Amino acid sequence: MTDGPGQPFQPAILLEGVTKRFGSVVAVDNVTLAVEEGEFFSLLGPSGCGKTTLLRMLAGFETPDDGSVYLRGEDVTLVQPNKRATNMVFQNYELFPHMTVFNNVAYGLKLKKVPKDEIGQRVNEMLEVVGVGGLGARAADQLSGGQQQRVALARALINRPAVLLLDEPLSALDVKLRKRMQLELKSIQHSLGTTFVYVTHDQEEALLMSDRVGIMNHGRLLQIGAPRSIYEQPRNEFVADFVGTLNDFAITVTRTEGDLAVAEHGDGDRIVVMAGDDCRAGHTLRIAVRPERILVTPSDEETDSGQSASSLSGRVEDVIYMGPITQYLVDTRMLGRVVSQRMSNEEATLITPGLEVAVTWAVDAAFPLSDRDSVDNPTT
Amino acid sequence: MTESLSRRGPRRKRSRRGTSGEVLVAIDRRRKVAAWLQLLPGSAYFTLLFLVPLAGLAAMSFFRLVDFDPVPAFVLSNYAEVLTTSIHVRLGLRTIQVAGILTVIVLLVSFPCAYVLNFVFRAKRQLLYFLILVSLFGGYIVRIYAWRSILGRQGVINQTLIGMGIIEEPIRYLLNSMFAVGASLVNFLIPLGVLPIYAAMQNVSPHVIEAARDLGASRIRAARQIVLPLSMRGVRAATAFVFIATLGEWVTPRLLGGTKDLLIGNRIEFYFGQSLEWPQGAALAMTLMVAMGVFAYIIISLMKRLTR
Amino acid sequence: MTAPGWRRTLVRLRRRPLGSAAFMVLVFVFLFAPLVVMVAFSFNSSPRLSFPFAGVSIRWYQEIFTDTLVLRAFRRSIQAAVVTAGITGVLGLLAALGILKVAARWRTVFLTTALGPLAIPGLLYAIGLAVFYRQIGVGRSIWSANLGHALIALPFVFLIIGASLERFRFGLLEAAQDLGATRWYAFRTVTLPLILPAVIGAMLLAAAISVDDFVIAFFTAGQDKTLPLVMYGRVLKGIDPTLNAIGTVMLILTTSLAFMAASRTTIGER
Repeated sequence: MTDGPGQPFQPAILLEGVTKRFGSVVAVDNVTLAVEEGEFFSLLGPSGCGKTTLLRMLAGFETPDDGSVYLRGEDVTLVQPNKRATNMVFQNYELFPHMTVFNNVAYGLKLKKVPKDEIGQRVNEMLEVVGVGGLGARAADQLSGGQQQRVALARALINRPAVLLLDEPLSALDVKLRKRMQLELKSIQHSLGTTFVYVTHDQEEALLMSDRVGIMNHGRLLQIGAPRSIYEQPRNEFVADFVGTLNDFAITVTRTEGDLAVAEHGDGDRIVVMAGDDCRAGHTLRIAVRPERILVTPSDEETDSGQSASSLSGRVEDVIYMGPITQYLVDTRMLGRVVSQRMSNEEATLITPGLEVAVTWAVDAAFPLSDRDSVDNPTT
Repeated sequence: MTESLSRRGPRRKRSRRGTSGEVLVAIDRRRKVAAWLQLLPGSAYFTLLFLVPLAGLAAMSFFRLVDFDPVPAFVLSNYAEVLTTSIHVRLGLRTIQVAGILTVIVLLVSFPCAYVLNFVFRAKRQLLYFLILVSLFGGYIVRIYAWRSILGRQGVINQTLIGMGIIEEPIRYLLNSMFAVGASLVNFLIPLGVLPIYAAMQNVSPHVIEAARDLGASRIRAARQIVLPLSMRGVRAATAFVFIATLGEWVTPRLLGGTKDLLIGNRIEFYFGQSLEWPQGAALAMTLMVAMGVFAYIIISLMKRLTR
Repeated sequence: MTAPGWRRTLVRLRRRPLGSAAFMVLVFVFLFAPLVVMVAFSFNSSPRLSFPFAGVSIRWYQEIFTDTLVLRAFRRSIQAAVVTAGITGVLGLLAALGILKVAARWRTVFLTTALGPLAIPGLLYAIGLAVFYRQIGVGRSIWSANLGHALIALPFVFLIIGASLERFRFGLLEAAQDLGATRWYAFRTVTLPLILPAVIGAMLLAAAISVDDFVIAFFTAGQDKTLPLVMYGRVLKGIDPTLNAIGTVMLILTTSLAFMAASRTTIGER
């Protein structure tokens, strides 16, 4: 853990046991994290989870009470923000309202005493890159939300930071613009190759944009991984619940078949899950299933799910049409309410409230849950 | 120290940890010192030119007058002399009475004025507010003098009334009377009353009134039950400004009042200006200041009780 | 307006704030009556304060602009305004910046004591200052009066700048620092330009307070008579038609200061 300068694989950012307290509140609790050069890394968590504090420690606005921050192998724990090779896109942009767009973007370069004609050239280039070319002479307080966002991005990126820090930069934009900016940000990051650390509370945004995501709650980094692994193999209940919607059940194992555990109930209702070797009949397991993996079919139709699948009978409570997908709430005899989400297609219209249905899912759709908030040693 | 702070105990040995804390403390201390240094010149100026002179005035009230020269001493005779002079008691009571009446009049005009400014003519409030500011800075002496042109025997009012045939002889008591003093003072004090009330009303959202109206309150009721309590801070400030300004007034009665229409301020000015008996003047000023404090306390607690 | 029906017209009329408008007109007529009268009489060709006018002339203006006493007083008033604005601008800005960073209980102490000059009558402060100057042996002069003007204007300046700093988004300073600025550079390029309208507005207000002051100058300026003192002397002597002209000049001076102050501070508010 003591990478000195000059070693071959220098992470862009290395946090070692970083802790920050505000009074008696532990905002960031013993976080260790490495972010690679050129990576798009997101910190995802609910408000107050410590993700912004962590970002502000990277920028230098907060100093950790404990632990160290390394930037490209150099210890910057105590370095002031104006001396750090990081730049930030603030949540409400913080554009200087009394300056033009040009002067906003040129601010950092002027401080670095870059020659005047070079400043002009680089600013105009950067404005083109972020898609606001030609707005240089506009006053910063006469921009739309999306334009402000782009100028804030340009103002930070033009300094060629080692790491660009983004603090919920899209949260003030309307849904449509936000979706577009997500893709644009991703492509700008890709073309410039700059390391991005991106703070958000929007799980969809994090999954869509990031190379890797770190999930935080109560100041702790609970899990780090690629979007797919975070979504499909969450290691604890909080992560599973925060990233996407979730059905979670407690089941009592009635018998085991090899590494499969089976819970049976009444006539025909059964749940089959992968379980460890030490699983015995009578054990209680907590499992979770994503709604989109759950199939709902009318009871009179024969399903060919086979013996390995879970299958429950129930009655449709409600059908909620949400555009591309439709959500079914099914009251099952064994587990109570189960939520299923399917594509809204022709077949879906056959299922109506009150209908007796079979609810099924494949073995690999269910995953076991550990307790809420337990840390799963998130070293990578 | 760092060990006890870290809940999880030492993870690795780090010699730098101790310095981290020290650097932080040093930066913090430097910023605090800078803040106090920034406050210093203003505080020093304030102390030297406000607190010290007032203390000097208090001290002066105990000095002895020897050959028209105040000599440091500690005598209570100035207070005895000032308080037993019957004209002071009479002028004091009249001043308080006038101040009370003027305060009520000014508040009765200022509150609706601020209300209309902030809620009724909201689109034009910047302009109206500015006009009120202008009238505040329209010149103190200038305006007193202008009242002479309005109220005098040959003044605007008398000549207009004669021209219209309503009266034959000019009304004499318009000028050099308590009426003239009151009119001029109300004129001068209305901006002082409107500004703090208006400032306090800025924090009252027009939607609150709409909500009250929606629930069935009349305009007047909404103003009284919703806006008044919410802008009470401003009303209190306005009351204090107007009352205090009247208590210290002496130029207006001097220039617009008759020979008998004086206020307590005129006596203080007399001691400092004409008779040069400064210790007596200081004693009277200190008495006025104490009385003012007592009245301010009574009025404010009364207003608090009324709004509850 | 295609035939709305008489009931509709009636309701529409009732919805118009006619009562409020009438009330405001009355208030403004009353507030501005003395000012209008003064300006009007300053152009009256007759020396008597009689109404209606004998004729229109600018002779009183010609008179005051050749009157060395008035001109000297005018110069003193301007000097007082500049000095007061300068002192209060520096002290007020520094104090308003400093108070942001001290602990909350100290802030309350400072803010409360700063209101002191507003809480006592000008007369009492003026004689207190006169007593103070006499005790420390400072003579009466325009400078002595200036120091007093600055003191009574200081709370206003401090509060106005403080209010603009309260609205200031300190995130902007973090942005500047993040881009490499030192604290001083960030203050110069971000804080100062953004609060400057409020600072200048507050200084203009201080200047207006100084020009308008009578009572402090009366007790501390001695023979260095400012415009209000000259006017007071002439009022005491009796009717003097130049007074309206002097008054009008002063009105223009103070209102243009107040106008600039008001427009700057409202820009600062947004």
